[in-house]
Amino acid sequence: MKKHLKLTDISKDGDEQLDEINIDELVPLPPPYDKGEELPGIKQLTDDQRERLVCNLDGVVSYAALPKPANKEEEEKYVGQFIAGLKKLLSKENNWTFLQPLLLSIDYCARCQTCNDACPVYLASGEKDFYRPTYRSEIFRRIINKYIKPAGKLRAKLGGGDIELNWATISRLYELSYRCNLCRRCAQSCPMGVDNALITRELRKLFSQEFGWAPKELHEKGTVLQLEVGSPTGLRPNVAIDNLKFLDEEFTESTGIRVETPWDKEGADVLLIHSAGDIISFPESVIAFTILCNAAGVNWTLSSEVGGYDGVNYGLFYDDVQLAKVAVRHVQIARKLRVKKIVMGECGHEHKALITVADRLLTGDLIIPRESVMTFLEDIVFSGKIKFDPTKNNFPVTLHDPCNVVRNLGIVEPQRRILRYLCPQFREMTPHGVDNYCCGGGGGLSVMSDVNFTDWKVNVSGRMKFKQILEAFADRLGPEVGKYVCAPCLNCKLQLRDLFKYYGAREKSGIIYGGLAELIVNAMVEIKKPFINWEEEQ
Amino acid sequence: MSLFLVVLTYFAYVFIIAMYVVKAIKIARLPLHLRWELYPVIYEPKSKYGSGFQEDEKGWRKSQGKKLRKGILYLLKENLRFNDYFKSNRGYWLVLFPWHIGFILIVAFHILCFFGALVIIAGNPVTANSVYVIGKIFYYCILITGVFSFIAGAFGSIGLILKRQSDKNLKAFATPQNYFNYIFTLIVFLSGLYAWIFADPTFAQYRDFWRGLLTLSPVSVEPATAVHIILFSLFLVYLPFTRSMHYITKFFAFFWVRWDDRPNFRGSKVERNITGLLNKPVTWSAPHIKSGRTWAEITAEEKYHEKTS
Amino acid sequence: MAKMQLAGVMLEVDEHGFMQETEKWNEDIARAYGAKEGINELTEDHWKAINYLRSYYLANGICPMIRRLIKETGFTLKKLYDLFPEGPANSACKWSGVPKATGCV
Repeated sequence: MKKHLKLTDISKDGDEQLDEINIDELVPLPPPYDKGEELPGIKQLTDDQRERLVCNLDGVVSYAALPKPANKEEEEKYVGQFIAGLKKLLSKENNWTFLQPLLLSIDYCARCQTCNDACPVYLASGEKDFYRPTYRSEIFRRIINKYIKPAGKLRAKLGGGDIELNWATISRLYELSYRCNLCRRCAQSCPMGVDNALITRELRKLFSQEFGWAPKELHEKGTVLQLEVGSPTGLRPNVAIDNLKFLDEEFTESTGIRVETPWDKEGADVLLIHSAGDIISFPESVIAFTILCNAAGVNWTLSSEVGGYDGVNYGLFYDDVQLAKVAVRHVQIARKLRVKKIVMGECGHEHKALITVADRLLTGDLIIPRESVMTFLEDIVFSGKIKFDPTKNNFPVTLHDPCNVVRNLGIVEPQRRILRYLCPQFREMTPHGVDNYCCGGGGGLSVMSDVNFTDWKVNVSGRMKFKQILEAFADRLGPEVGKYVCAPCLNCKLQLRDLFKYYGAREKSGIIYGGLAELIVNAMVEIKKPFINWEEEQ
Repeated sequence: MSLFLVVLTYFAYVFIIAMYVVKAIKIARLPLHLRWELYPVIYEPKSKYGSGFQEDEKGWRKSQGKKLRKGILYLLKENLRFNDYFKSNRGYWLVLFPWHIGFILIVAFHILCFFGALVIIAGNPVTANSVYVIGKIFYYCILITGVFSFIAGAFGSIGLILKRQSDKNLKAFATPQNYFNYIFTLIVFLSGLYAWIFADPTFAQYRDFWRGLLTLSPVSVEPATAVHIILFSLFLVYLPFTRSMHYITKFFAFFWVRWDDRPNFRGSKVERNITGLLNKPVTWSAPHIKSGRTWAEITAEEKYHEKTS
Repeated sequence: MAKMQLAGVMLEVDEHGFMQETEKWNEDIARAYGAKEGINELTEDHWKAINYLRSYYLANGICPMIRRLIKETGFTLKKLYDLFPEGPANSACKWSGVPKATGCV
């Protein structure tokens, strides 16, 4: 039975779970994935976990370290902190970075709910009230109106819908801010130009920048680790070089052509910044770039500076200060190497963080041209320097559009021109391009795996994407036909990995996933053995 | 009484314009923000499939192109048709659209009254059988916009009340102010309709009132017309306290956020702006920020030493 | 922070049961982890993988790439899954007493 939540319910019964996710209420998947009861679903917390952890939203916990207030005074302290944070969010000094978009989104929502139907989380969940893009935004808006604006408390009393700011509200808003992929489909659908994803991100910023609360994968083991040792994976410069050397040798052996990745070449035309996660988990992607750049005669290099071999910037997801530090680090490295431009690896949020968002954090000689991997690969493929045999890619291929490359950066066609040329059985998903569905790992969620959060990602946030993928391959869904989802983004690949593993997509439907560069190399005449490995489990 | 109507009308117009200008200036003077555009950016040449300029010129375009005209046209069209709503939420569109059309027409009605008054002052009577074509045109335009505005607006107001009550998605987010607004606008539109039917079927009085307004020679009108004039003035004064400005702020939201893809160059105005903003102090309290420094100082630090616990 | 009793030692673990203080690890802990996942006896092959993982982690601050693990041990991926039910990242690393891998991996 579906429960209807009121906005004011957010502040009630602080220790009680507000609602729960029922697998049979979720949007149905096509067969053979329609039997939800055969899957483990969302793991219930143990009694010990319920005792220790804050679990008062949907039965899912994304941040085990969220500190419960020990007593009434501490709760009051949190309320004070929240209000102080709100004031900073609304100040020109502390939040010039997003003040104008924030105010335009706070003050002019018409409460028409048009955006709800655009949200993959809301749709997939079977339309759970608290996953509406407007639910957390409206609560946030009412808190601002009540606690910050003149005569706010009086107006809240008269105007109804009075939201009480207490531990229940604060902790639930925290968790709710991580039930959104920041994919911005809602913003796209808004006739007023209101951006509920931006409001979600501002909430995350308030928690991170004022309270110091952020998922450990994004902050402590994310940006902090990246600035300190070089990568959120913990990969240090010498280990990165050592790994690549190992991979160069391995692939020289397996492909039969000489694979050599250049490091720290001063004055190169191109500094390519991969994600370190690709080096560790998807090395064939990294090597595919080496093969392509070398074959096309690009004068390029990787960097082994701390942070220079990992293009991720989790600050984009939760914290402007961390975002700025990481972005500046990236361009400082490029400046030191005196390269002509930086090319993003296959990582969506790296694109968005470094090409557009950080564009207005850079001044003077830090303004260095930055290019998308899509246009870079397009130039290589159509340069005429490499011979291709598209029949080598004669299997069904569909393209997953990373939100941060497409909807957020406007790079839509180059990757498609490549696929239409090299993949005879390329087909689009519906919808696609700037209207695509997020993989379900957007907004930093794909690297978050605390407690039972992964269960939520594969059951709820990734559901619409998985459904779309199955529909794109509906004509040949059997496991006997190998099918490839091209996902040119590390975070999307990680989410697809979790999704496909959970649903058994490889075994049941023969669907694998991978990047764009691997597909290109797979079609190279010079590469004799298939480059894409259909068997190996990641 | 007639003098009161003149004073009130002038006050209402000055008030609403002043309030809107102040609000618009406040938004316009907010600092430059980080780029946060969303595609399709409608004035990009290839916006049909959503592509932006990064696709062709590798992100380093210098010219801005003819974006303003294309963007404004798009938004104006959207403001007149509500196409987004028509496509996504037809039931809501059915009442929302007439309500807004009521506003657009009532504004048009008053603009026409203003110019009609000028036409009268210039010596051309505005009537159905005016010897001047312009007089005839104004007569019919005023009549049509007025009547349609009152009918559409009243229909929309009632429809929105019912819709907000019956649609659980809308109801959950409705506030008492929403209903107050609908009832208030309903009264404004109905008072106009009443005055038209029972007191002023050709709007002759209304035109005359406007002539008096502009020549500062107040004329007396029937009570029903007077009531409508008072209600409409109150409505204008009330508007700045509602979200009504979204008609205008929408342009800001689209041009300054959603479509704002201006790149940053060395020596550009954007760069000068940023340089100033980076010198603003940061006072966030979380330990990793180590507040008290400026944005520039924080981002320029070479190595990050402390690990937060 | 969660706690877990393994081989008679009270350990700080994350919510997935990975040890947080890797220096407290000993072979009995590895055996206890294995038993929890239904592997009652650790064979020489288990130890080969565990010892490699652990020494690589201690030297480099990160777990090795799967490819390296395969090359060093000579095991196929399938064999690794046979040895460690939840696979190299979720079982082998856990039994070796190193923290769960994070950060886009």
